[in-house]
Amino acid sequence: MCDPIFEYQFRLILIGDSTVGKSSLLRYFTDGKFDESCDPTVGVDFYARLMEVKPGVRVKLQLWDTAGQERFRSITRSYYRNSVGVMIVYDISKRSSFENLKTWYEEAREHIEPHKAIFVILGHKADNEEKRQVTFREGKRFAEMHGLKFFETSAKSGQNVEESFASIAKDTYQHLLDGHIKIEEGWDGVKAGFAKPKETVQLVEAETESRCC
Amino acid sequence: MADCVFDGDTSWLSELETALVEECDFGSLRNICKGRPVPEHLRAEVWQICLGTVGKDILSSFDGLYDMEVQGQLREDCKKLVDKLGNEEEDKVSIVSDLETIVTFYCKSRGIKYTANNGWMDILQVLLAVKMSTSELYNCFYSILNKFIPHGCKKNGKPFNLFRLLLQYHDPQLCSYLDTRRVTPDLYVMSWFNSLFGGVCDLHVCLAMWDVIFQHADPFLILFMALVILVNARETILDTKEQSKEELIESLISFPQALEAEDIEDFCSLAQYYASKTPQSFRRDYQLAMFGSSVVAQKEADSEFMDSLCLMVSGEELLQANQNHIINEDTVRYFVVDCRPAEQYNTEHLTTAFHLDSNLMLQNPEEFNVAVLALFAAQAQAMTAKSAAAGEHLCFMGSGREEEDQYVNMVVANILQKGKSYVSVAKGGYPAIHNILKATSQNGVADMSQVVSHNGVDSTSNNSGGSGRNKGQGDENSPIRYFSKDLLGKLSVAVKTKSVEMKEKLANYIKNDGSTERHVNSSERTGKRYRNLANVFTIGDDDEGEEISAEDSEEDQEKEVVSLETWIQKPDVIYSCRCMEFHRSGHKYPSYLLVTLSHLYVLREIPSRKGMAHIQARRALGTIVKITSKKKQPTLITFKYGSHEDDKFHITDAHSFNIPTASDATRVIKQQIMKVLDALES
Repeated sequence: MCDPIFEYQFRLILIGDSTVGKSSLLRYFTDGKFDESCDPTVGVDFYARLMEVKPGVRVKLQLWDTAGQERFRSITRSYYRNSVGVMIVYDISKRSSFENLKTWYEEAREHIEPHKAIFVILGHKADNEEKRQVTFREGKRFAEMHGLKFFETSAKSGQNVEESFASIAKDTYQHLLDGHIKIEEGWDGVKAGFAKPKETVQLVEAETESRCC
Repeated sequence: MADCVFDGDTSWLSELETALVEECDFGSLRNICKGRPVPEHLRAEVWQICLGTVGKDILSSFDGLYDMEVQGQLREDCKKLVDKLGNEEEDKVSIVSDLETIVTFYCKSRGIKYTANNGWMDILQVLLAVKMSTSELYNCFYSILNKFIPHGCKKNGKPFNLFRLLLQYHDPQLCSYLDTRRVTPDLYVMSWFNSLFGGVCDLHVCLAMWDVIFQHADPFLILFMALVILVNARETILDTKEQSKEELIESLISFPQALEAEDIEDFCSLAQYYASKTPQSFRRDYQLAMFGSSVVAQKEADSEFMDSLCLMVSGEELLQANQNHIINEDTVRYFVVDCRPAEQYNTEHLTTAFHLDSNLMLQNPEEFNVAVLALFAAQAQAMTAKSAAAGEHLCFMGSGREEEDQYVNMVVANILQKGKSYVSVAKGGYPAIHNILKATSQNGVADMSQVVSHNGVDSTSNNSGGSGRNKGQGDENSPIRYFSKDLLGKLSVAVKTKSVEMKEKLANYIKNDGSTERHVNSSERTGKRYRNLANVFTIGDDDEGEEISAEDSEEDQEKEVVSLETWIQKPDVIYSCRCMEFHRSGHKYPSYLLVTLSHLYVLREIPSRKGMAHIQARRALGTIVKITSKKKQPTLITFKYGSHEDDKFHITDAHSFNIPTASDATRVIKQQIMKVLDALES
């Protein structure tokens, strides 16, 4: 068996209230499938997918799906530290899930420090227009207030699913090129792709370095 | 009367009557009743013996003031209860007054506020059916609330979290279904727990049930009773997809109503059966929070409590359960799944443990799935073969460190999502096991028969690929037989301790060993030369002020530049760790220590090139003649190199490091040196 070649591995974590649709979103993104009923996540689940961040440059996204339920909080907290990207998800048809965004954002930031991470806000279940309780503008405003990107997504229609993941992957890649984020020993947020011959990886790193200068 | 069904042998009843006349104690009462419901006319006496309230009169100290904030509400509730009973009108007033007295005094003496629907009225209603004086009634009420009603009966309260874990343990499918329906246990078991089923069951059923509960004196029994009720109705529950959540909750709450007095004995033995098929460690973990009497202690237990993915099994329970070689149907036996990284597993593990590296799930999901299938197959095979490793109950073991255990949790969550029952986690991970074994071996009753402790030489340990496989299942040729004969092997296990104090003790131990050199020498099994040199393997204090000479010759040479990650992951590296090299010049260098089968490497990090290192030193293990550590700073380790000549050694060089994981590192290195010397010898 031979691993597909990728330059880097980014670890992303999805957080947000229980039942906002984190697992469905990930399942759609990794499998292209939507399942109306889905069991609540037990503690934590894991998905992976390759993605192109620029022509010829592929990254592996390790996606951590966390349980939104309060009783798993002590377990899910341990996954923040090793994440380079955080997607905070709320349900546009459930006001309370939007109101909890701030708590989620703060909790994630607190646990990720001193490392840096890219955050994205996702208003999920966007297909559910008739039950909408949070307007697009409200979601957008929250994201802008904190300087974050915002998408309304749906795992039913597929709206913005690919785009939102592409956005966080590309932003992470750019931060890496710019040197804001670095590969660090003992931190699993970003890792060099280990399936490639070492020289090539080092070459890429050297290139990026020269570009920075 | 439907309250007791006595078929067959009734000789125990007269025995019970005699015993009651003789004012027997709880123990002999239990021996006579054997968990059976008792006849109505004996019930009051039996209960009081079980509840330990005989001869107490506490109610008389009541000040007679009915002045609580909620007095009105309480009186209302008492009236409502008495109205239901249908007594004569003149009796009603005195009963209401008695009830109010009992509850008021209870609230005042415990400093608790009365709230409507907290289950107390249901408890009192059952108690009223048993003929007792008001004072006796109060005592029983007090004792029941104290001993059998769990604290924290609120949303997300401990009793409900525990109940959910128990349900998940025994019937994950049902648990998952209710989770999906968002029906949390507090929504249906609340009224069962806070009234001891008094609020839901038929009165006569409840009386018989309490007979049994009080005799068992196990407050956790009601959780298993609730479990039996759910599991019994599982088909009905799983068939409620069309029902609304509210309808589902309502039907769940009403299930105990279907119980009949004839069912009670079977029902209770089923509950006990489930209790016996459950790891027992939860009792200790939850006892204080759910049934502790001190409010302060409860709060403490509350704050330090961590919710877990599944039930936890303590190291003690795990070791004890798998120690019994006779397979007893009634006890829990574990199939231990060791999820630590390969190198940790290879260093030391339980003989019966199956290795499943949790990192595999991240790196290679397909291979991981194969490994999980292998795990289930190995488990089934072990059970058919009735081997020591056999066990229906899967217990996952991590390293006890959050950083690594997050991956173990991920594996456990994955297995749980597959709907596997009997899944638990070893509390504290492998270190918990290790510490227990270490403690027992310190006491001179070393039972290392459950552990394989070694380094990477023998064929079984070269599984850095991490694929799951089972080891040590063959009882006869289990590697432990060989290793447990090795005194130094045992010692080295004991050396592995983080506590400085223990290390000092051990240093003395080893020193004593050195002084009895001649004795050791004369024994048959230590014919080999190096064994006489007891202080070769000393972990003791460095001679103060001893010069630490560094590696000058190599200093000038051009050093090879290598990638750290590649080197650490080389297949022949059996151990690696971060350390700080202390140079004679006073400089410190962040470095890595790598141990291979034959050599010790020092890789010095290159600050300007991330992930790269110079090979600073390469030493044959056979040239290490002494390893010492500072007493005051046990992580400061010095390796001395040289050669043996006429039972003395000439130290030609030394190297000092600060190794955070010093005990692990030195243990591995020492073991490896032994191997090398052994090989040279033969």
